[in-house]
Amino acid sequence: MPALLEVQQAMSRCLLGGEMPTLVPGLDAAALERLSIYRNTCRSTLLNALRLSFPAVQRLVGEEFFEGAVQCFIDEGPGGIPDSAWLYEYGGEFAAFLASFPPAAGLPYLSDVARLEWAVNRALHAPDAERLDVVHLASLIGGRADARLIPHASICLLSLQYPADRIWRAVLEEDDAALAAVNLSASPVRLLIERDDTGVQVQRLHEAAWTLAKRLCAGLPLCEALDSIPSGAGSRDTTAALLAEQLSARRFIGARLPDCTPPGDPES
Amino acid sequence: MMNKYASAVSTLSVAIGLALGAGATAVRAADAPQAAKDSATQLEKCYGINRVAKNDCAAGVHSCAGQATRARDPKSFVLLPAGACSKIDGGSLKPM
Repeated sequence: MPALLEVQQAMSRCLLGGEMPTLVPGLDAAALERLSIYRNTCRSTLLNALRLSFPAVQRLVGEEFFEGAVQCFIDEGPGGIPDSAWLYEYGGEFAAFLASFPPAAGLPYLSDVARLEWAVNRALHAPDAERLDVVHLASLIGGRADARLIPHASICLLSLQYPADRIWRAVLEEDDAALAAVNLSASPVRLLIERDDTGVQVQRLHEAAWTLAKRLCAGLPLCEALDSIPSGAGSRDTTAALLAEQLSARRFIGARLPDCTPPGDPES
Repeated sequence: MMNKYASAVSTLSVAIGLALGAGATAVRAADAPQAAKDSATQLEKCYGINRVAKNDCAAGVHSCAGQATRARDPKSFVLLPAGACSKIDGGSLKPM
């Protein structure tokens, strides 16, 4: 009789492996037939999860191609096997998979659209938290440049080579004119994706604003986040204006201060 | 390091002053194009359904009936994108 571990490993191969095994120790042909029903159900559930998380990608390539790509993703891609019981957490590697999926090579923007859709999916399911206004935030920071801000969990900053936001919107709204107007050779886009009170927002930011938001959201201390921000004039007023913009956009839910006294504190 | 910190403190205080003075809405509107705002409401519906359906039994084609024993063989049909991608100007459809 096979050990429990062997049975479990064989079961896992039957459900999500590339080919359905024809021989599994301890299982007869009838059991394998029933297991293949389970296998098919399992895979179609994963396919549906990705359909729901990547609706624009599916519309771009059509249903058949999408299904074929997902089958290959399950069989080959790292991340094709779910590692969470929550289906909305499945598919984080799908964009990277598409980037190197030979049949999709003719659509170089496809993986950028997938990255955007994944960020939107993450934003949708991020936990709720109260976004602080600038008065509250300023009191938590207490004038200290070594404070670190805590971003709302829905926020994601993406720098994409293709105008994935325009493509995504046009595809989901079935706006053919907007699709035809997409300029694939335009310069890279820097996006901020977040969920606010009215839903998921996708907006473009200028390079300097995006860089500062990215650093602040990564939890860098303010003094490091502000260091050599690429602004045109480079004056302190410009940097301050950028920071003011970030602080008043209600993107943060708290601030963390280090335990030690700040280097600029006169009492130290 | 000391300079960087001092300069950051001063930037921070100017920024907070600016933010308090300007009010949140004016600054916010600057980096969100109106078109994006308008379309967000429509997209919300599309994505709103996802969340509800995601773990729904009915979402799977076979999930409850469990009748099909075989998925379509991914290699049995030609993998060629066929959807809206052809509507993008300059988007190539040639398999590479």
